Amino acid sequence: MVNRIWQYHFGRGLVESSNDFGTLGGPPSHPGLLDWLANKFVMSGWSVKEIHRLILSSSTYKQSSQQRPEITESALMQDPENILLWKFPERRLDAEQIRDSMLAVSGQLEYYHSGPSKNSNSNVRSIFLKKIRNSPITFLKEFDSPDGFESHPQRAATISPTQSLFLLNNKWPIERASAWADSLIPTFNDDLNAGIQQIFHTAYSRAPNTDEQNLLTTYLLENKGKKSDQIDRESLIDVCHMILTSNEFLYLD
Amino acid sequence: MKGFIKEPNGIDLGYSRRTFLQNSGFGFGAVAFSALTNDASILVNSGHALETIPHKRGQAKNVIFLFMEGGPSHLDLFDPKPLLNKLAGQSLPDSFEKPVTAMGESNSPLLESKRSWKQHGQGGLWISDWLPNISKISDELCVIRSCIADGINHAGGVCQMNTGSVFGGRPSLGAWVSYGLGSENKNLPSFVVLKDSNGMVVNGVRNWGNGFLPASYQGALFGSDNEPIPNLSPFNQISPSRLERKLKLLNTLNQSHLHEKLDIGELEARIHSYEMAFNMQKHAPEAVDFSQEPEYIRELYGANDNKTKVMAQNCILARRLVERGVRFVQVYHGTGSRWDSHDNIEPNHARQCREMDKPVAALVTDLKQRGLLDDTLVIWGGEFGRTPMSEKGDGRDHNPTGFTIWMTGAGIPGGTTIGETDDLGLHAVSNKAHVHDIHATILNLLGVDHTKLTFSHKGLPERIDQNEGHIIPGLAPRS
Repeated sequence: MVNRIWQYHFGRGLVESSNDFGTLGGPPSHPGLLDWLANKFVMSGWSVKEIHRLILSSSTYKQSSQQRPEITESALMQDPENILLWKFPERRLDAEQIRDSMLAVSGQLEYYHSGPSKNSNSNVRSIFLKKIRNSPITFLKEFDSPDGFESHPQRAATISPTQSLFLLNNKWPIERASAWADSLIPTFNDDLNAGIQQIFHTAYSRAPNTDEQNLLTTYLLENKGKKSDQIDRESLIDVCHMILTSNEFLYLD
Repeated sequence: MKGFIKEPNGIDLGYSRRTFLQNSGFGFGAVAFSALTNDASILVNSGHALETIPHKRGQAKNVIFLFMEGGPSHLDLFDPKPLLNKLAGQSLPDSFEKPVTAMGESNSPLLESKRSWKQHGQGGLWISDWLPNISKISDELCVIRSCIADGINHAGGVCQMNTGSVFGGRPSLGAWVSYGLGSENKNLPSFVVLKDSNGMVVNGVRNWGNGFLPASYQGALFGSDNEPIPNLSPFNQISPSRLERKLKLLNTLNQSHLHEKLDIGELEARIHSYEMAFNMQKHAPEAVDFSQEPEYIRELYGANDNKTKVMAQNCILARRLVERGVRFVQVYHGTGSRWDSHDNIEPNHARQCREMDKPVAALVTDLKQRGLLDDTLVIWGGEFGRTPMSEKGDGRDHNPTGFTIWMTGAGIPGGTTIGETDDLGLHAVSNKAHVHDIHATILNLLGVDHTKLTFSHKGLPERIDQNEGHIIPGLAPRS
């Protein structure tokens, strides 16, 4: 169990073959840690939440995936695959996380925390959606959500042109971008810089750097002009759409 | 393979996601990169599956699987049984083992075949008068009369013919082929599914699903309307220049994100996947544009005749896709079990045959005249055959214990028959070809040893044939 929780946060379990321990599985990368976590789990009264808290507040989890010149070179030599977790292993969000994040950012996420599952058109978190095996939800399927026929110990994280076509052209992401853009228009009409700040804080949880600030300013002002100082809505939708499809949004680093 | 954890028992266990992406075998990263270089040979040479298994045995590069959904009657098309007409009206003699059938018709009287039969071509293949056009290409066909499947209903049967299992969840044949051979066209999916109506194949996507293989190997279902490839044009109909401006912005954002990152393989692959998407948007419409087909080709396939039009268009499209490097094209005819004829088999089968006979024969002829037939394996068949016993007086029940499919192309000998059923066409009796054997044979005709094309899943090296398939004798690839 603690191995599965670990895998959920780091993309790879302490034992990589999370359905097979022992002779049919691979050896643990951190045997001591695995035992320690298992003991903690039992001692905490089998509290899953406690283990989540423990992992999420650990300095291992709080590492960045960025290069650190002082250790990068020797670490890459000794552990090129980062099995020992000398940096945070960058990973793509899961299908449900991407869908939920897009809804949350667009301001359309419907608050729903219990009750019967909902139709796939609803704006509730993905976990509350009805999953019908013979008509999978396109969004979730496209991002490797298992089809529900059998248990999957691990998910793939594929990259395909059809996935990109989906993000670029499908109605769903574009509608999220439009809703988000519309909610931002008052801020933008007030102060362009504040608007750009808000986009970055909402989607990336950080402030834009000067280059990014300039990039978006240019993009948003390029098509302006027809309607006095009003911001061009189409360009703003495009910016929101591209932020939602960018790697920084889709990856945890 | 680097990055695999080797256990003393020799079984390959999991692999790290990093390895997964870097070593191109499963490598979307690598697949994307190779595709971008516009050089098919790089992809072929770097694929894991091909790297580790011999790839010289067969000659086919592509597959077109013409799937007659619902179960065509072998007894009225390719497997004549004089005894059936002699015993018509009587019940099954005791010397024949009574099967369990879907509708429980094992005690019903035998139903004669009203067809007239002739032997065709140099090879003397028996083909009924329902298939006048296919009769003319009989010397191209290898008819396998001894097929066996496990599913007695459509859901299980169609699922097994596609995935090897009557239950959903395993990767489909097309997904295995894409996984094994990769794609040769950066602008199109490597596995495409076409169907002849807005109806759905029984249980839909599970039949072209990727199962436990990565999602990039799943079949792409082309829509039957204006947009064959899903999401090929923007939902909000924006101009190409606006789209290009958007993509430039995205690229700048992604490039600045890439800065200072170590694990750039996957991130770069995703950046490139947008470029591929953009290319697909530009080039894929050409692949599906029938207006480029000359009139004599349209006429050959029957595209100008309302009865054959839909199948003709799908067969032309299948050929165009294969010409452009799509590995596996599956064409469903009779989508939604329309071949299923529990009653009124005469009008039902007459109509189904009329719809597909001319287009299918034209496809084989056309592939041959373009020199593509040696590279392309064409398979015709359904999920099972039909019983010699009648149902509701004038229909036939499902028969998975003995039925016919045929193959052509890929250098296999034409005008030949493999295997036989008993004197009433109920059970396969010689050279039995189970679905697993059919799948094993298909992979080998593509040059892939079916025992070597594996994917590690839950600690087991999984194969398409669930470790049970053997190459059908007579269909071993020429060396």
